[in-house]
Formats: sequence, C-alpha cells, structure tokens
Amino acid sequence: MQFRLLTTGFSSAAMNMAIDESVLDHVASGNSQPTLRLYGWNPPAVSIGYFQSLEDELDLSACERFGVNYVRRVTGGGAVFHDKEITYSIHIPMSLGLVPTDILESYRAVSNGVIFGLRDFGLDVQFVPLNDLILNGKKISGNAQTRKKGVILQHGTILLEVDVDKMFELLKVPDEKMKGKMIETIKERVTSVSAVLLERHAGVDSTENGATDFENLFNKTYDALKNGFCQAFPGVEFVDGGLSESEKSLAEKLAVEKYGSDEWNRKR
Amino acid sequence: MKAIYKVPNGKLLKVSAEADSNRILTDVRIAGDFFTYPEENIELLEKYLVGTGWNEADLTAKIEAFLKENPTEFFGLDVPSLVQTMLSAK
Repeated sequence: MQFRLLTTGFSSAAMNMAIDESVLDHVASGNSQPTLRLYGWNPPAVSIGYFQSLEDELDLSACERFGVNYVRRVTGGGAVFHDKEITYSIHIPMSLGLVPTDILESYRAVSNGVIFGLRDFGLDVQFVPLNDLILNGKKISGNAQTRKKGVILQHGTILLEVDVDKMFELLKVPDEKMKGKMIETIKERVTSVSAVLLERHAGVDSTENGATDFENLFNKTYDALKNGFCQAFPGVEFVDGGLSESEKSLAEKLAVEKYGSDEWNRKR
Repeated sequence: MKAIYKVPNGKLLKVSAEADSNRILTDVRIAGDFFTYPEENIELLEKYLVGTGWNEADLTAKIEAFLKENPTEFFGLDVPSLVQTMLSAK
C-alpha cells in the first residue's frame, strides 16, 4: 500500500491548517492517497484547540508585537506555540483498517511514528495518554486527532527548541500572579530534541551533534520521522508527492475564507 | 458568569453561563483544552442545555439525556466536572 509523503515546507498558520483540511477532504473523496505530511511554521504561530476561546488563551497584542500568527485548529487540545519545531499530519481512511477504531489506541498507533522516529537520535520516548509524548518525564511532543468523513487526521509537533519565556509572553494564564511559578513549572516539564542532544553532548563541539543548527536539526528530524512512520506502518510505502492543483486551490481558499477569518478564529 | 476548573486527571475546563431570574440557563459556553469525539457535539450540547434548570439534578439529567441521544466520547472531561463547573460559575 502506498501513502504520499508530502513536504510543504514552512507556511503561515492559516495555510498550514488549510492544507491539512484540504488534504483530508481529498483523501476522504478518494482523489488523493493517504498522506503523511511534514511541515514547519513561518512566521511562528500559536494554534489553539477547537474548544478554546482565542481571547481567553492569547495575548493578541503580544502576538502582533512579536509577529506571531494565530489560528484555531479543527482538533481539540490546548494552545501550542509553533516556533522551532517540526509538525506532522497524517491522513488515513478508517476503512483501511491500519489504525484501531478505539480513539486512545489510535493515538498510540499513530504516535508510534514519532516514537520510532526519535529512536534515530537514541531517544526513548513514551506515549502518555491521551496525547502526549514524554522523554525522561518531560513533554517533547503534543498530538491531536480528529475524525471526519471517514478519515483520521492526526497532527502533532515535535519540539526541536523551546522558548518557554516567549511562549508565556503570548499565552494568557488563568492567574497572572502565578505566572512566574507556571513558567518555572513548564520549564521543568517540557524539553526539546535540541536540549536533550546538548545535554548528552555536553562539552562536545555543538557542530558535532547538530543540536544548535535549527535547519540541520529540522532536516535530521524530518528523516527520522519518515523512518519512524515507515516502522509504525510496516505494510506502507511512503512515496514523495506534492499537492495536487485541486488541493492547492482548496487550501488557498480555506486559508483566506476559514483559517484567516475572525469568524473561525473567534468562534468560541 | 464564568468558572474555571481543572478536571481531576483531565484538562482545564472553562465555562461561561447565563441564567434568568428563575435560574434557567439562557446561554452556555463550554471551552477548554479537552477533546470530544465528535467535536461538533459540544456545540449541540451548549444549545441543548439552554432552558435547563441551573441546578445539579437538572443539569446532570439533561447532559446524560443528550449523551444518550448523541453518543460522544470525552477525554479530559467528564459529566460531574462539567456540572460542578457550571454550578460554580459566578
């Protein structure tokens, strides 16, 4: 069985979410192959979960000041600051029977792509239900899934570098007085591929391990994820392919009319 | 009226609600970083709850009736937490 391996580079928040929806639509209609997509965000962006309120979660003036985009996802979960990271999305028709029907088990099955991939770096990542991947007790990846039109869409981020202080400039917290403590707690509970590699290679020239060169790390993680998803779905051949004209056209429309609109982003 | 509640072993739930002078809900908004499948059922539930008495028994019965009619899986959210958060909205 073939899946398309789709590489779309770095896009705006609205376009990234629009491409995911367009691909889902085309996979559902049978006009596109099941797809694994790997991508980045430029400019940096915050995505909020489907059920979150934009005004409750984000300091919009800080977003403007830092040139950070924002977008509502079609998936639940929390707000995510997408900066130095790689994101995957996978679009699998449920009729293929490749992923369990049970929601928790399907998260686990898809997340194996990331877990197996990060083993290329020697990292032993664990799945913690429902949607987190943890390394040495710290979160390194968050994932979110929806099921629409008979297709499972799961997307997730792998943190390559993390800037918790900047993240908290952008995100609102329920109790402003607790902000300092929350920042310290999150710093203790979140890690990144770069941070782990730097710790491991402490004292070694950073150019040796590639941990400080974002582009290098992005490319290495791209290859690792490709390997990881091949292992997670052993009967599947991942073949490089681009967006079809129809997918591009729908994505451009969705980026403007849906994901770039206040109607969508402020709907809750 | 609003309330925020961290669901035990779950996610952060943020509810806003309005009730009339007879303590009947006129508007409900259920937000947070939880997951439901299908997602759209949360919006249907919000509409379904309008007209419900703002008390534990009525809210619980109405939510359970909704879930029977509209099978929904919650992750990071449960019915007692939802009811308690709505009741604590100020």
